[in-house]
Amino acid sequence: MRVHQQVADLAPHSTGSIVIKGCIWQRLNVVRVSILMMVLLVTASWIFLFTLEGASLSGYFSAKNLYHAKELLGNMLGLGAETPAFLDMTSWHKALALTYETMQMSVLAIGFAGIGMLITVLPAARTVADGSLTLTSTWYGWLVFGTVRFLYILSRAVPELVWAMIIVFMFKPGILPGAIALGLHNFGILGKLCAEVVEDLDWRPVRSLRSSGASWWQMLFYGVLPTVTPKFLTYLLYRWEVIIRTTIIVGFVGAGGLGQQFKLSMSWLHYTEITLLLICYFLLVVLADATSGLLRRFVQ
Amino acid sequence: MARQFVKTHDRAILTVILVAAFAWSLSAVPWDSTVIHAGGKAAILQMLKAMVRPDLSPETLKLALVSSWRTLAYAVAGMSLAIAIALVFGVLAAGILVTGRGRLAVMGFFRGVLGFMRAIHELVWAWLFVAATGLSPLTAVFALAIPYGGTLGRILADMLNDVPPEPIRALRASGAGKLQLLFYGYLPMAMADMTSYIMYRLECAIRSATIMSFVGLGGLGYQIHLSLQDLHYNQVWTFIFFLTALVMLVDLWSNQLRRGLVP
Amino acid sequence: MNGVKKNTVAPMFQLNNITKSFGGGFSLSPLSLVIQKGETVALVGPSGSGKTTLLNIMANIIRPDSGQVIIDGVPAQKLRPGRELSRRVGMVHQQFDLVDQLPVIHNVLAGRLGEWGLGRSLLSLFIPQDKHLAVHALERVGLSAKIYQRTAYLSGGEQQRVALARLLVQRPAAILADEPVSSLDPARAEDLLRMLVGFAREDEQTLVASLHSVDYARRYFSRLIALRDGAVYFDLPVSAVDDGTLARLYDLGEDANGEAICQNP
Repeated sequence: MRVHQQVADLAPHSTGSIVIKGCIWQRLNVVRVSILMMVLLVTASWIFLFTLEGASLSGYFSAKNLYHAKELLGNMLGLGAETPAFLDMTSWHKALALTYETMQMSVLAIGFAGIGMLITVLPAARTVADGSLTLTSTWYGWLVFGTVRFLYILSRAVPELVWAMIIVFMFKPGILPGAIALGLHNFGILGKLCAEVVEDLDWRPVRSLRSSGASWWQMLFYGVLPTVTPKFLTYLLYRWEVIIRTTIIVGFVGAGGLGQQFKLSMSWLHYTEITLLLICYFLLVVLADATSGLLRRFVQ
Repeated sequence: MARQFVKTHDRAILTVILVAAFAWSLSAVPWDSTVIHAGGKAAILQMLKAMVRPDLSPETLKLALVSSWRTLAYAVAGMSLAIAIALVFGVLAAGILVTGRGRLAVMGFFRGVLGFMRAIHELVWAWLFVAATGLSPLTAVFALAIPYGGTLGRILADMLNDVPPEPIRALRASGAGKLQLLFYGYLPMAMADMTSYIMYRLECAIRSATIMSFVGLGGLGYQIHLSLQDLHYNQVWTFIFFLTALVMLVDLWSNQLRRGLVP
Repeated sequence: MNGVKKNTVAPMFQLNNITKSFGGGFSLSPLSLVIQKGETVALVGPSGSGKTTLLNIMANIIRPDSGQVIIDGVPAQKLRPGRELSRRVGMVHQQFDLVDQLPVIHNVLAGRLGEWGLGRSLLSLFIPQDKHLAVHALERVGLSAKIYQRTAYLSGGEQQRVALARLLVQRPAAILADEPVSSLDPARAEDLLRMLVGFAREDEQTLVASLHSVDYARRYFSRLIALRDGAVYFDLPVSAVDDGTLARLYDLGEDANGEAICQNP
């Protein structure tokens, strides 16, 4: 892509019409095949669900299920309960402490993910590996590129919760295993996003610094970093919002915070406590969105 | 002067704030031997060793293949339902079908509904559904479709609102009604962006379908769970690699499709 | 006028029979040029005639396929990028090529990067080093009010002046400018050219600029080199250029394999 651009810059008289025609044909083809595949996949999935998996609409929307659902809702709203947890000061106190802990876990997680990403992102950019940015390309550069990219895919393909299940084998319950699990998953996502930012970097200002006599490191600090920082910060904040939403999930396997309590209340059938925890979770999400929005406006 | 300083160094200041927040969160962890299990270190080593020697026996591979299909099928079914939800709610939330006084009210209401749907994580939805109705394949599909429909609907509404107004005005001038505007103007123009976003969410849906194992749904997540409990780390990695391959395939497909859609 | 200076013998640029071709069949045919110190030279010619390629070769950014490039008496292949090169040659581009996210002052001080070590250049991002140089340069281009603005917020003309200020700080022996005014409106373009040529004369620098407009070239420069299809079409002092010659240069229809009218050694 970048090479094409470069050639196009230097040679304006390239013969492009044939290439463009080829592209259109290929484009339609990809789209058409994708639509066909999608339709097949959707049909196959629903057939599979209703045959082999035994899903049944009439069985699902039955009077019995409706009754159970109503009962659950009633329990959660505290109908018939002596003192619903969400009207009880001590319960609130406990829940807010857990919310605070959850907040810490999320910050710890994005910190881990961010540090991991910063260390690995430069070699993970194709433009760095193939030398179009730094003018040097080496076999070990490609090796590191491949390894880091594989790590990114692996860590983002595995959901936070599965990482958490593995990690609670090693760490005692608390916010650390939760943060590590969340951090691992988001490391892969941040890495991919930020490597793309580096790849899409306009290399002309960087090369222009070169002609002012800048060294490799000076190009990094004067050309690359200032340009990518705003996008990196935006992605960090955006992923932090997502992490806040997911903290409750890693708690399910004993990784601390609101989620852990949520699961306990579930198994003890303390329905009003569940409501209270959901309220706190909701508040946390809203608060995090607002904070992140505020900070994001700061960098723009 | 102080204003000038903040303006020039805003990114540096933000970075300092973020680093301070990270330091604060680090202080919440008791950094001593109590954070790790007695056999924790050994477990980490075993886990890492197993990573380079995943279980490749025919039975495990067959199981992994079947489980991958099951996870994919649930993800696709959930996504298709989510798209249907998003189309209805997103169009309503964009406020392009309603004019006049009720428009803002309709927009606000449906945006609120979409917000509520996606504020709650799919696994929490699943848990609530299971608590209410017991486990059924449809539980998992609905639990997936609700938050995903919320997200997709919100994005669709935003995209419809960002559609350039000129072609719409031209269509309206040629006598198109509201529904005609929708199908000849708004939807085709938002199609390309929406498709690449849907492909990205499909990747997420595969992960979400995986963790539905927590409410008892079969598939890759369930197998990972079982293997972990039996301490069969080699098998754990087999299933993880299958999951990775599944995500890579969708990623590859979505890249190809995106290249095909963007002129 | 520059003959009084110390190392007068070596010309600023000496190109001997250089060729360069790209995949698209676009090339510089064997081309030789000598540019003395202190000259102000305009490169003109239809687009695709090889002006940018020639400038990039003179800036030692790309290497010719064959032939010899001597910059300030030193063969180009011996000049490593970095201080050695940046003291001799500086370049302004059509798209300004500034780092948008940095405040103006750091973009200007980037002209000092060749002189500074890594530590000093990092410190400068927090406490600007050699600040007086930047202040002075920005005063000369009339932008001192915008010293702490983020560069992205500046208009095209202002950004081009920042690029100029960077060159003032860098103080190379020769300035190469690739279509420096093509993205500016006429009034700003004239301002900038006047400044560029004025500074080069004041500081006794060599200036080579490629230009779309022959009009500007005749008004501000002392020597015109016209390129066509990768070869020197004419090379004349401004006073010797007449309208007929110029008309033939841009006349693509007839005279497609037009010969060089005058080859000035």
